[in-house]
Amino acid sequence: MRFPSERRQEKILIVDDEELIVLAMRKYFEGLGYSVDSAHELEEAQALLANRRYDLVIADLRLTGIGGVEGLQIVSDIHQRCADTRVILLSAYGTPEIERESYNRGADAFLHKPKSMMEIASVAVNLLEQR
Amino acid sequence: MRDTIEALLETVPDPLWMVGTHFGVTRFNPAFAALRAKGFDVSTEWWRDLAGRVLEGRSVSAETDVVVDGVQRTFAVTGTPAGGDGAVFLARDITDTSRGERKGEEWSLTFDAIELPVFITHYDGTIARLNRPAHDLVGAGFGDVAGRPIRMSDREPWITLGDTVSAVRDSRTPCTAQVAAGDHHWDITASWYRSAADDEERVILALRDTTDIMRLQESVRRGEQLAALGELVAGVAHEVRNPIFGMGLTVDALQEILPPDDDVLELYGILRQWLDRLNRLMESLLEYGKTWSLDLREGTIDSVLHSVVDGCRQIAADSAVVVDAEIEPGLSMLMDANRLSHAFENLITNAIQHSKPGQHVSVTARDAGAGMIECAVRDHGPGFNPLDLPRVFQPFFTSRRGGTGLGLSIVQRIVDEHGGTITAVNGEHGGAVLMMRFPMYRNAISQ
Repeated sequence: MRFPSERRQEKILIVDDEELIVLAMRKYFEGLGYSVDSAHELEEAQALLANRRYDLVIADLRLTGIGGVEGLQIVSDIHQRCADTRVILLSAYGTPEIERESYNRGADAFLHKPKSMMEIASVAVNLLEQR
Repeated sequence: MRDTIEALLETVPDPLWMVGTHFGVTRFNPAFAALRAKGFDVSTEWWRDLAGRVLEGRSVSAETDVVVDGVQRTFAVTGTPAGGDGAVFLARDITDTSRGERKGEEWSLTFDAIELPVFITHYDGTIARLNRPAHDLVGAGFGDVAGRPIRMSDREPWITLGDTVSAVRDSRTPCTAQVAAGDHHWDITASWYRSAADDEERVILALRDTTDIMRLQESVRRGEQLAALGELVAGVAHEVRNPIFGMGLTVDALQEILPPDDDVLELYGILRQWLDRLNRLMESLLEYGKTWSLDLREGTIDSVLHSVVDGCRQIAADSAVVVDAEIEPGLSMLMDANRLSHAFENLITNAIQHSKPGQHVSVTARDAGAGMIECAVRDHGPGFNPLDLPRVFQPFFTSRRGGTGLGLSIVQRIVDEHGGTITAVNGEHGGAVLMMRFPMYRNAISQ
């Protein structure tokens, strides 16, 4: 997948407690020319969001042990702070209720794992283009 | 002792009850409850005296007049010590029996009234006495068995009964044993006593048919095992899904970064196929381990089947297989339409995958009489290996390469949830046949 070069200065924040997933996504999106930051836990993500403006945040729903829904908090924070940041939530455990709640809080997309990198990237690019 | 009492409480038709060390009634059977409701009172001084003697360790028998439902009745009562459990009492209404008959027949009537087969043997293991149910158990083949060894033949339950007598004799303590004879399971309880009549030591053996209980236990155990297994596999699947996802993303990222070369692309393709297979397995495992809440409503089987068959037409067309449906309309049953559709989808897809181009898959549903609906999915593929037939519904059993071996287990579970049964057989002219039977739902108003 190749994207127009003017898109490539956009900033993406990737939030996932799985370091290896963050690493793969970072490589991929950097390879496409985006500027990528990453966080592994809620507080770290909140600190980054307080200091920098992102065009897109890709966050895992669960950042701690079983049953965590920290991703929802990130969606709420972004919705309050800067309305033009797009948010994609990724989840392996999402129920229809949580998915509904995510959209209610302002998520732009809710993706059920597993998804390929191309699927995630095409949702990301569409969201960035729609802004 | 406790087992014997349980058995007696369950089977003896006459009023039977237990009295604890504080003279209170601790256990009783329905006949006693019915009698007590009609005024049979065992808390009087007379009963306390009787219980006192039994609790001291003596067996007693007595007769007493009691007013039941406003009418005076005569009861023959026997009390037997039950070790630490207290005393067991058995009452028999003998109002209508003449006094002369009572003495002679009393004991054997009581003995025969016990529905459990009971044998009394001498210490050498020869049968001294047996009640009617024990006679029935022996059957006609052995003729008159009194005086013969309890080990009547080298078959069960006679071998174990013989061994139990020896064990009681040697240990001088009550013994229990379990024995399986043919399709039947028995619990044997045995204890020794000294006969008041001739001062000879004897062994008393009671058999309880536990076949139904064993079957029930087996089915509960199977259910529990499946539930525990389901929980485990769902847990594993959950945890494995994320690493697979990570592997997929890494492969995608690699492909984006490395220059596209035919060999490299081919290898990516192989990696992706493995990942797809792992993902399918995890999805099946999650499906298998899921706990569902069923949403059962009245519905017709044709509405479900037609939409499933229509949904499978594309897959069939891709494999050049023809799906024929012969579905009787209006067959009503209680169903969770989504779950049932899932089961049929699974069966029909399976049948298509096992068919060669040009072959037909047939889906039928009909009223099978006796309030049952019969559905079948037939193909003309290679059918089941006859040796595999007993195992095809077991989780992880598969004969198809790349299959997860969970499809038929999931189908069986869904059919089971609908009160139905499913069997796998080979058709008369080859091919696999999955045959299901469901209870028909009859709406009271429409009938």
